[in-house]
Amino acid sequence: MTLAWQHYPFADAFDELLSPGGEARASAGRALAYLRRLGDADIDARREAASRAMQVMGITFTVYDSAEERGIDRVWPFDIIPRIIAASEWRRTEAGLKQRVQALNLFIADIYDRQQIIKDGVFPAEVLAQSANFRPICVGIKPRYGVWAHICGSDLVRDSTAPMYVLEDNLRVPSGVSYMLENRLVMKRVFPELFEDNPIWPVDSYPSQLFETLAALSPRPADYPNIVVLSPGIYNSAYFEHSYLAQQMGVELVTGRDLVVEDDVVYMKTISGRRRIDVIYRRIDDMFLDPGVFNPQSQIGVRGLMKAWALNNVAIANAPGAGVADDKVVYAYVPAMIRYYLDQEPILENVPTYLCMEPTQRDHVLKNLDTMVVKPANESGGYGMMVGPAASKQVRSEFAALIKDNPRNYIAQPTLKLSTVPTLCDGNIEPRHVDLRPFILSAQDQYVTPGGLTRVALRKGSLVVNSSQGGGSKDTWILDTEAN
Amino acid sequence: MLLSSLAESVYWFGRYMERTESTARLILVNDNLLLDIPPHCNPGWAPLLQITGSKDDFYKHYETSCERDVIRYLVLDSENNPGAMLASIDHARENMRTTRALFPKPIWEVINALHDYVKEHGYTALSPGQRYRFLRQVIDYCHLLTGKLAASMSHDQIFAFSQMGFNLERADMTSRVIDVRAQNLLHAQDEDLRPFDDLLWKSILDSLAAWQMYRRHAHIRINAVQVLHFLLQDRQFPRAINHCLLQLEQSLYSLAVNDTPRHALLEAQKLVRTVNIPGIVDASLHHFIDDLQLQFMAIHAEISARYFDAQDEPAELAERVIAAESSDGTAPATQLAEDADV
Repeated sequence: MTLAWQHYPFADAFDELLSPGGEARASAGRALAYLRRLGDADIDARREAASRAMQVMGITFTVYDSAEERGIDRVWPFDIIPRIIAASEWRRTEAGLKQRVQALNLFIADIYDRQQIIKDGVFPAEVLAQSANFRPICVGIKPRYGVWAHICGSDLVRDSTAPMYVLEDNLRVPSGVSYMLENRLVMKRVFPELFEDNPIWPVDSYPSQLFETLAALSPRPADYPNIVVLSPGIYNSAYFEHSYLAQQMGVELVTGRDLVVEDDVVYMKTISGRRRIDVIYRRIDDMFLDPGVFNPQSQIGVRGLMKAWALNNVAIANAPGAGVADDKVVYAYVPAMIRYYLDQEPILENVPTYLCMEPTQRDHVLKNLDTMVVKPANESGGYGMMVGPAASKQVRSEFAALIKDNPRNYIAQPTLKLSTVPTLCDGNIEPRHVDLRPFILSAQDQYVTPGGLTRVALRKGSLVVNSSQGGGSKDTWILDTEAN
Repeated sequence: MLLSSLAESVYWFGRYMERTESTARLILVNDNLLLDIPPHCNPGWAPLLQITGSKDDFYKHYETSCERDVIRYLVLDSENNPGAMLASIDHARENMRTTRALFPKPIWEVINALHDYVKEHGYTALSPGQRYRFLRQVIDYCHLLTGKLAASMSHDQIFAFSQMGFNLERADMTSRVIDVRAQNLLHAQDEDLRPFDDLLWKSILDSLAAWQMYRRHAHIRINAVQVLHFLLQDRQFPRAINHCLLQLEQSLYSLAVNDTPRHALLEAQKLVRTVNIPGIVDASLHHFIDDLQLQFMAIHAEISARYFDAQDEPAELAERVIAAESSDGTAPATQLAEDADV
């Protein structure tokens, strides 16, 4: 087998590392030159080493096996060819993400306060009225710094040569950051020489940044805060990440049964008695947080938690109700929010989005279903969506019915030709589509991960990058080309 | 700092693993014993149901206590029997899953291997020709696990909770074996069994892997008083109740606050060490064992209340810690052990 870099079968999309002529892009020059010098056997040995390292480090995600009635740990596929972004481009992206999350937080705070943006006619009241993630119980609550979404994972995609678009903002319980960190560790083990040659921005300060962000939320700022990561438990697909982050931050990983609320104060149960909790990094959905307030069937929540939070006896990140801005209809209004709250032009653009609730836009969508991606407003994980060009006629008509039935619940976007990155596929180098999920932390300061998690759709031609649906990941490098 | 839920999982992990081993041992010994006893006075397999306290439940699902059904029930039938070996291993494995970050990785590998082995080969326990091999293998896995725990893990609080699980379960099982077997023996009106007295007492010792050690330490031929003395009061034999309770005491002393569980433990120790064995051999052995098992339950309840569902505020506990340290120091109070140890 010979890795035919010179015969790279370009997809009909922008390639992140190679220009259409097959030349390496400026930021990727050194790394690609090095990879090209390696023999096939050497590349294969590194691929092996990476996969072994993944196994040994226990980097897994859990899929539920209904036959065995238990979760099974799977190693998440990792590709050793990195995705490389020039630092100059990244600086602009980083500023855009900060701007965006700032506006989103102002929006959430406004929605749970005076709703000025609705009164001023910038955001329609009926969108809010039908929002599945609006929590009326949160109205009037004022979290510290006015920040509701402390941890945000925004998905970025590139279409043609244009700058990256924001595809969505995950403000509920975004996951994937542990894979970003572990991918980097594996790459350093497998390609130490590449790191000597290339000024790659380090990513490993994330756990300390996260700790600082959480610590800043403590209602008892004078003390050393007690922080916990609240997980639904070992059967959750992201359990590995929950335990990883807890370990990296040096805080306890707990489930609902470890916590108890008494006199509106949250405690964790230890063998030497109860210990007061100041900050909860929750990795469970709003609806399961407190069976006394939300879903009464919840086994994983903590009774009394919402009241403890409302009285500011404990901080919860992300704040309950923050998901109101994690809605694909609300998403369409983010550029308007940036103009409204910050009086700035958005640095990062949205993907053009058609709201099915608007009759003219809906007509356009229904007429062009074969070229569009249709998404439900509140789903995550790539579920319940339709990729028009790949869908059968029957699926398209099913979606047409769904849209007519509940227009508020659907948006549509033109099918993007997601950019590609060269990927090892059965001994060949082939283009595979990618997206990028950077993580943005917000308390009194903001922090953006340098790069983020690059997810790659491993099936040829596929545009779906989710781990649950055949996706893998790559290390993401922000590279100072100026220093080269 | 150790979360209650983790401590609880570790403790139950110990109990389930110990239960797995004792189940294997019980079947093995019964198997062996039955071959030596003439068919007309053969106690059969029912005593195992009595020992494991599952007689009533068993007859809800099976008609007769025939060999095949009892063994199926004790080893494989996790659907009907929550105490079946397969269920115990499943539970041990689930408990380990939530706490695996606390243990050296090889421990998780052993429990997985045991789980897979029993799932795959469990049915061989039903066949007289293959049973020995299967049960030996299970016991070996259990020992591999306890060996790895002892040798590769820091003897810290987490270790202490696992050991408390092992030792309390072990003490409990020894008491059950004594209860059921001795009842069969002591109340055997059946003159036909008399010639086999020795054999049956030996089988008690065998169930607890105690035969060789008994011979070495007791220096006398088998008789009821000596066997009971050895199994109840010996300080050195790992399955003797006194020994298990001493181990439990050590584990408790490695934990900061141990007031209430220790009081319960002291009560049990007093009962075991001061009992007049010749006096209970004849009539009241069953009552004595009943009392003892109530004490074990009390120890479990106090461990639960103190560590798994602690209600106290840390400040309140800090006072207790200080009080505990100033009153009895940190060394285990073993004085009591001396007076009963003949």
